Order: sequence, then structure tokens, then C-alpha cells
Amino acid sequence: MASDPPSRPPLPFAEARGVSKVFGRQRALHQVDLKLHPGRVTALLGPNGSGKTTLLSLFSTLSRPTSGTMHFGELPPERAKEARGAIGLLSHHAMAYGDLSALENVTFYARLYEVKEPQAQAEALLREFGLEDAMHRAAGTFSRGMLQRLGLARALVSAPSLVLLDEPFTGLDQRSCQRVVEKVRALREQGAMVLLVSHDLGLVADLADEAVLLTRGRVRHQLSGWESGEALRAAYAEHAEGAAG
Amino acid sequence: MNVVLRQALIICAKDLRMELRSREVVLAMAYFGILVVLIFSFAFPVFSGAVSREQVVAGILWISITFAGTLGLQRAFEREREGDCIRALLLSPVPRPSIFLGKVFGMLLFMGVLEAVVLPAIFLFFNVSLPLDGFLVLALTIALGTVGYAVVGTLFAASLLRARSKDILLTIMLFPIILPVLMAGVKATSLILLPDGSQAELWVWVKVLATFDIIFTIVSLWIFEILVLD
Repeated sequence: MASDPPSRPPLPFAEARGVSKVFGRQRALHQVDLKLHPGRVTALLGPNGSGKTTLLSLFSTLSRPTSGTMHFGELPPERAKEARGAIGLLSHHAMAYGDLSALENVTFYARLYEVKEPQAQAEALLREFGLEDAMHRAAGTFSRGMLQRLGLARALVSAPSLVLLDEPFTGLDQRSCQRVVEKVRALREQGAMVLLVSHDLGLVADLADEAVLLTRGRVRHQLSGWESGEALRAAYAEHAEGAAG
Repeated sequence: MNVVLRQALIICAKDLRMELRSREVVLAMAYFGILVVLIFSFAFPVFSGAVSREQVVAGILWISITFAGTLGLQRAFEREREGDCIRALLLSPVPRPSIFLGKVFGMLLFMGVLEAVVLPAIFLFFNVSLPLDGFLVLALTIALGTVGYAVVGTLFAASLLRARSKDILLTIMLFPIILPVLMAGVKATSLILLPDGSQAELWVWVKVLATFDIIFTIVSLWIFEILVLD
């Protein structure tokens, strides 16, 4: 883990209040409320096209809600972009430059976030994600799983207090999945807010403190306190199918 | 160093490092620029009548720079689109003017290399000569025109990153806006090359270029984030 994070105050909370998002005639989100707390992992569940990535994008500040407001700590909604330094995002893409090596990629972002000793921090994170042997290779030559791990290192290089992970286990082998699970647990221990989108209910059950079920852009159910992966799977099936029916 | 400038230089250094490794932007631009000059040298083997050699050469120079520049703009921003890197850049706490200026600085470097290749080719193929003071004024004219082109080009290329037909749209949108740069550049260049070109008129066109640069740099810095967000 990057042991020497930049001196940026952590966000006390992040919250979507009645947010809707419309793309043309398509309503992606409708009146969604969701509050994220430090030291908690919140999973976003739902079928494809239910609005999970759109909600993640609103929490990243890279998209603005059509109505409703996004709150990041005490910042007024119109100044939400000031929270960007405290947000780490892993999206469907690794967000890495193919012509640069893994180390150059992560070091570049570390410099943008004004991380102290950017190269050392980048190296530490790449090692943590098992990329020590590939850190000098061009990212363009990486496999899907390696790119995913590089994307995670990039997203976490600034030691963000709000971590947004969109399907972080995609393309990862079992060992890499385990590394990510351990990392997410470590982030929770350090007091980060983690918003996790995943279709792997087994891993979600293992990692998340609560789960929010989205269907057709609406929050259908909030789940917590499940006893096992099977229990979460059953609850998910009941509510997702209920909404579909 | 000012934080905006420092972050801009980090982004520019990244672009430069990528280009030194792949050389694809500069090579494509230089190849295309030389090709334009070569084709025109065959199209205009003899100069006669109302249009002088200097006027034609000035037009060819600016066509070569702007057409090859468009190629460079498209490729330079394709790198940001690949892997959705532009989102990571926009998510960072870097001031938006830094991202804009970093990309502009990169384009200026690439276009500088293009011009260093195209200019001697023009002089060679069209048998043009210029005294040193004339060359310095020509360098200033090209530099001012290049700044205007890179500023507006960067703004449009960034705003079209997620558009479907971005390559076509870039050409359609960019050229009407940079028409003043092209016109002033061609006029000033032909006046520099003409043995009896009016100095007073020359400086009017140079001032037009400088004014364009100032206005569009300020406007671009202001609207860059609005155009690239969402």
C-alpha cells in the first residue's frame, strides 16, 4: 500500500440525494438516495443496464446528475469537483497508456496527484498487485487481468478516501482476485469508503457490509446482515426477480 | 513554479515520452506534410500570370501545416481515448487549464518538428530564398499561426473525444474557426517572401495572428472543462 499518501483530508461521507440521470430519452437513474460511510464497503448489485455504472460515474464527479444533488463531505454540491483528489476510480477500462510502461503509467498519475516520492509509491503498489516482473513492460502488451491490476494500482496511488470499483474482479485469476479482496479489506480498515460493483455475489457477500439492489435505475432494496453468500444470492434473486416480474 | 504550469509540463512530458517511443504522430505528420508539398510542386511547375510564386508557396506552406496538423491532433487525442485515459486525467485534481495547456504544449512540439521538415522542403522544391531577417519574421509568423491552430485544434479535438464521427467532425468544425489563422498566415507569408512586400501590411497580419492567439487561448481555457465533461 502507498504508505505515504498526499496530505489531502479524507472525505467524511459521500452521498447521492434524490439523483436522477437522463440520457436523451433514456432514464438511467430515478430518484436514487445512497450514502457511503468511511470504513464501509457498499456493493451495488443489479442486472445489466440497471444504472450501476451511471451511479458510480456520479460519485466520481465526472458526470452530473440531471436532478438531485451529490454531496462530498461538507462541500456544497456545486463544488463537488473539489473532492476529486480524494476519489479513486476503477472503471471498465484500465485508463492506462499503451505506449508507457506500467511503472510510467502509475508514476504519471502519482505526479498529477502530487504524491510524495511518486515512483516509489507506484513501485510499491505494482508489487502489491503482483506486477513487479512486468512493471517495465509497455501496458499495451498486458493481458486483460494484468491491465485490471494496473488499473487498480492507478486508482489507488493517491490513497483515496472514496474508492469506486466497477467490476474489479473481471479478468482476474484466483490469486489476483484474492489480492484485490485483501486490498479492499485493507482499504476498509484504513477508513476508506468503498463502492463496489460486481456480479460475483460470493465475493460481494464476503467483502461488503451492505448491498444496494438497483433495477431500471431505481433502488429496489437495501440488503445487510446476510449470513452467507447463499443467503445474499437468495435475497438478490427474490428482489431482482420481483422487480423484473 | 506555478502549479498550473507544472502540471501542464507533466502532461506534456508524458505525451513527449510516448511520442519518442512510438514516433507515430510526428512521422505521420511529416510524411503527409512533405507529400502535400511534393504534389503541389508537380501541380505548379511554372508560375506565370496574376499569381506569383511567393503567393502560391505561402498557400502551400499553410495548407501543408494545417492538414498535417489535423492528422497529428486526431492521433494525439486518440491516445487519450484509448483505454479511456481522458477520464483518469479529468478525475485527477489537476487544474483544467493544466490539462488543456499540457496538450497544447505537446501539439506545439509536434508541429514544430513538422514545420522544421516542411519549410526546407518548400524552399527546396520551389526554389525560394530568404534573407536572415526575413526568415526570422517568417519563423515568428509560423509560430503565431501554430499557436492559434494548436489552441483551437486541441479544444475541438478534446471536445469531440466521445463523438462518433470525430475525425470528420474535427475537420468540419476546425477549419471554419481557424480560417483567420490560415488567411493571416498566407497573407503574411507571401508578403515576407515577396521582394517588394509591404512591411506595414505584413505587421497588420502578424497582429491579426497574435490577437487570434490571445482571444482563443483565453476562451479555450475558460470553456475547456465545460466541453469535455459529461
